[in-house]
Amino acid sequence: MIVRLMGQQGQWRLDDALQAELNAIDAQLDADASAGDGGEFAAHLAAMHELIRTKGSLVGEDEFLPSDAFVPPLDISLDELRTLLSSDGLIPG
Amino acid sequence: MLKRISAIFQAKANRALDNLEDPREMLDLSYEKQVNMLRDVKRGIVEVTAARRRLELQAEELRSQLPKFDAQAMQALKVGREDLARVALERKSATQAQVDGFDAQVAQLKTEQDQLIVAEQRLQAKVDAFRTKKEVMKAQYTAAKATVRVGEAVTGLSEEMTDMGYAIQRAEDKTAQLKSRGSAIHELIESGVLDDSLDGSTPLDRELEALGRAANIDADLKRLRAQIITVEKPAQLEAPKEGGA
Repeated sequence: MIVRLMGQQGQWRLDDALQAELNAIDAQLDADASAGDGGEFAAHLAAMHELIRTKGSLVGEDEFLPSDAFVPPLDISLDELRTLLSSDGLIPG
Repeated sequence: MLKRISAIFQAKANRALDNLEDPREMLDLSYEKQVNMLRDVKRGIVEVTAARRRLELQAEELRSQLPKFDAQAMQALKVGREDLARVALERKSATQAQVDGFDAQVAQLKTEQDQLIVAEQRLQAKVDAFRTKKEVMKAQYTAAKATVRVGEAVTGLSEEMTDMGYAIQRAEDKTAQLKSRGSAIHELIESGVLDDSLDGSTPLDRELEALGRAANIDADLKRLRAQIITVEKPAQLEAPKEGGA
């Protein structure tokens, strides 16, 4: 499984066995975002980044692979997240 | 959440893949497109860096305004108005905190922009590597297998560029937010330190202003007296004693 840490933090190769763990944190992130709890959201997002960085390996620069999942940047605010999710027109490129 | 974000990225990548029958053509077009986008990326980084430099200058300028509050407090103390001196110093403290926070955010922005420059160099290397890779893929081309691999490679590079665009956009947004914040602090200082204007000021502001004017008048009087003493020293020194006697 290939996961991209957005904001130019690279693409990471992860063992598929980690999928359940990632999904669990993802569910928490969804709940935090719905509840509007910025503090909890930031904590869970940091946990997700940490998991990916410690358990994954960085994809090489000469490899060109599509990612299976995209993780928002560590310092994203809930407002920014809403903008990111509201329209694909907001990401340039 | 991850799924929704992935869908956004994939929709973008798929648009890049549409309308192309021959994967070899897709490789060339994709490469050209990424080279153009890389040029935009470089320009974007130059722009946010210039904007951040302006913020650094603004931070310095704001900091240079802080002694005005001290001068105001000093004037108040000279005429025994500790209450007003306290008001001026409280304003200084509040403004100082704002300026410190602003400085810290501008410094943070610099760190992030330095990272963008590193990322841009990495992206340049990646686009160069793609150029080599696409030629290899074209040479090894067999229609059935190639389509999938080409699709993956093109998507991978397109994704990289999209993410870079996103990172630059965030840097631009943060820079713009800090610019507004700097202007707000500037206004705070302008309204706290009263130089010329009395518009919309509170009674305390007016008192501080009046003190400032009184101090200026005192200073002027002192200066004028000193001039008189210099010019007509003997006569002026004698005059008050004669009057008093």
